[in-house]
Amino acid sequence: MLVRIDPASSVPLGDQVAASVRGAIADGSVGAGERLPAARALAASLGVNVHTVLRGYQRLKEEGLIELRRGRGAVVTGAASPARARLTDAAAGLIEQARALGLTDEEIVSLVRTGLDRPLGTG
Amino acid sequence: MAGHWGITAGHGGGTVDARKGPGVRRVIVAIAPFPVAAAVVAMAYGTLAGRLPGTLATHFRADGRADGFTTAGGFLAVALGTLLAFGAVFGLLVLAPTAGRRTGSARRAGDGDRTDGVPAMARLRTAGSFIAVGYGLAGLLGYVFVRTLYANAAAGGDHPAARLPLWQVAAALGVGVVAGLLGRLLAGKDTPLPDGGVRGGAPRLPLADSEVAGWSRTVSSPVMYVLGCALLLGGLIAGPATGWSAVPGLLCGGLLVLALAGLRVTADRHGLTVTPPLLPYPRMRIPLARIREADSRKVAPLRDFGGWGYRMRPGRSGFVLRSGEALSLRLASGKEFVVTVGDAATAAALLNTLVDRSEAAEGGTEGGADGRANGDADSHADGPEGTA
Repeated sequence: MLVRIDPASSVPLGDQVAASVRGAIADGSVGAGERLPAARALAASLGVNVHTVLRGYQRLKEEGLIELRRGRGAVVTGAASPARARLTDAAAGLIEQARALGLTDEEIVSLVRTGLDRPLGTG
Repeated sequence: MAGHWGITAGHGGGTVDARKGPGVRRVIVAIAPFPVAAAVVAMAYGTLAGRLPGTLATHFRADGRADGFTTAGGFLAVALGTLLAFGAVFGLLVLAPTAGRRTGSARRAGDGDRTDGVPAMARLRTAGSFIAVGYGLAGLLGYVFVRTLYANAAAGGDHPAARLPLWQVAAALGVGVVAGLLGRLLAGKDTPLPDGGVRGGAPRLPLADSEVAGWSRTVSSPVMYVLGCALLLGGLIAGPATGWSAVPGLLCGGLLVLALAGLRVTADRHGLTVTPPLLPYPRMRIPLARIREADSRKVAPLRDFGGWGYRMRPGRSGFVLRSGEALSLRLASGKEFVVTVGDAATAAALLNTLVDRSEAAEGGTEGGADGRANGDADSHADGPEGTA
């Protein structure tokens, strides 16, 4: 699994770590059940704070892509498929575009809700 | 001796002389201890000849009493013969033509600059450690032979009364170790293989200047998991039958095999790091400064490394846990380090990029050559040495 971060970028480093892992799941180079490097080890690898990596891992956990267990580290969940990871990426892209247009968080949610309310096939 | 020089000169006088043959000095240094030890034994015999009985005590029990006897002439012949035979073996190993030692698997197309094959074999046989073993052996044997002669002389012609206490074994080993160290010093520094390979052929991973990247992956060996479990199980089953004497060995062996059955391989700004899958230690790290180039290749454990686990072969070493894709590093020392791991191409590309980057950084401050030399010095402290 390749993790690349750019400290010069405006995206928070934790999010960059999460994006790298998500990308690795999306392209199939990390599979379900595989263990991610320990946060401490990954932090040392990248020269960032452990908490930065943990923030990234926490984010992936919220997305349902990994499980964080005490003593067992971060393990990619069975539910984490490449398609799922790509979907999460697409959602991130949607949010980014919407924000670029100046939409508020509420407006983005209502945009998605409108899409959900519309019956299938009419989109 | 002159004949030996001739062979060496012809051997090393080819187009790529620097990497073919060992230097004449090294060859002499490598085979010298045996004739010297033989000469010392012969001198001791000459000095003591008047006081030695016709039959010598030549074998001793743990309590120091003699229990084996040989004629004086026979003993001298055996002693000198053994030393000179060892000298001949070491001499032949150092001087033997390297052709015919190539193994098909080790010589891949376009692999001429790799460390396996001919240059590695030539290097192994004049490596400092090899020479040290020769000196240790010559010192140990020489001491034992001379000591036996003196023990017999001290008995004053009454050979069954000769004594050689057990602690003399320790003394002999001590002499062997000292002689070995002397040999290591005389051998001097192992000259690294000249780097004939062109850097830059292997793939790179495009990385922005401000970007930081790390790669990590685990690998496990089904063969070693099965073997480890079989050893543990064997220990428990065999326990009652053998009175438990075989159990500690089997259990320790099983645990050892299981401990090496999985690895985490990390490539980052520190270089390549290999650790157990769940613990940060023990770890083996090859810093970027020691890495010349990384690549991925296929490995066949039995054919390329003679088995599974941490393998050492002339000119190459590494963790071979399964067959198939492996990360292969060409080190600054000219040796190859291999770890069988998936997605090795990505790791290799990243390492190449990072090596480029660290060389560029060093070039700006203290000069690339200096940096590499420093890295090499570091490596002897913590890194693997393939042919040790």
